[in-house]
Amino acid sequence: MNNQPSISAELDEELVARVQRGDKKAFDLLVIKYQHKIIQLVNRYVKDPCEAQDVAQEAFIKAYRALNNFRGDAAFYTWLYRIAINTAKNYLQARSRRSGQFEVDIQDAEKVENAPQLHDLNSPDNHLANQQIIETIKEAISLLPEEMRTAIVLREFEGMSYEQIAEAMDCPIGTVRSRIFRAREAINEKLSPLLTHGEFR
Amino acid sequence: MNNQLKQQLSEFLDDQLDAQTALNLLREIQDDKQLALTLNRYAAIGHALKNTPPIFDDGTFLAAVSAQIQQEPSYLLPTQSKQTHEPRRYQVLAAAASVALVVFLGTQTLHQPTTRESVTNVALSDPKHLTTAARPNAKEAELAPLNERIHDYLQAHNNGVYTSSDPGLHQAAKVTAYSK
Repeated sequence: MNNQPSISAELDEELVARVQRGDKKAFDLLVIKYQHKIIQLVNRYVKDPCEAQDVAQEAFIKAYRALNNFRGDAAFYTWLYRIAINTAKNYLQARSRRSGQFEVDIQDAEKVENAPQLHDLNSPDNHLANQQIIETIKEAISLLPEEMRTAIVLREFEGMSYEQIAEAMDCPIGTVRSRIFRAREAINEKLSPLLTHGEFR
Repeated sequence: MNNQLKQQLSEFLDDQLDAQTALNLLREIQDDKQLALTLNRYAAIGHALKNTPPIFDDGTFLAAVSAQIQQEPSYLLPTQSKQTHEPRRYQVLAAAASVALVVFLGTQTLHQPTTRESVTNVALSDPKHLTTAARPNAKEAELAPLNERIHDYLQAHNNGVYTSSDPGLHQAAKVTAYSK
């Protein structure tokens, strides 16, 4: 659906308006909606999942405090994205006062922005855990039926819309929805044993 | 948690839900920790598929942000967004309509005969209107002596403009005025 971004923006607009009228719970919905993207974005800068969550929290709080200045000139996510990047940079700057690594950190973060495969986690344990998760996911994908594998790969790797996938796979859009969902669910089932032990965060 | 809700989570991550369904789903996620965990895992799977390190949140992130937001003051700003855009649109339409009306009336006025002409025409065509049509001329006649007196006064007291239209008399009139 070509109009999906505007639907998402419409929802954001509604939620922001509710927060501005005093409904704090509406801000929780914005957090649920964007926390994954914001944590990942911040992690590209700070390169530590735990720190990334702390910095992302700070970014959301800053966004709440600044919400009276948000007039909808830009999309809410774009505005939030800028706040998150500035918060991450400020965090790195504060960290640099301890280690003198600020310039290196920023340069690294900007390289990683353009090449996500260059991600590296600070802790060797974290690195190992994430490698195990990625291996499990790859294995789960290889075990998927062909049509589910193709659908999830086109969506996640190629970033194609449901319409484009339906066209590429020559099937109705409802089938694409169902295949992508079943693929995610199958991978989730393979991951559950790893995640329920609380080893990974 | 049923499969329909899970499928909605999957579609939500891909921005495939309409605004109302997405809003309802977000409320469900807010109240259902299992649903929130499933969303977090689906999102993490997506990141892992893109070779970015997945970050699994067990629900503490939202709880932490929400707790801090509760400590913050609430906003009580007047509604803006749609409600400000709509009146702006109407204001533009109203201005355009006003301009169109002025142009229309202006055009109509230009193409109409002057009032005196039209009154005369009406008077000529309909004798009943004769009295009404003659009224402006009668008033002018009433005012004529007064105008004449004003004209005379100005001729006597002004040294240039009102004295006479004859250039030959200008100088004499000025002299008269100085002598006074």
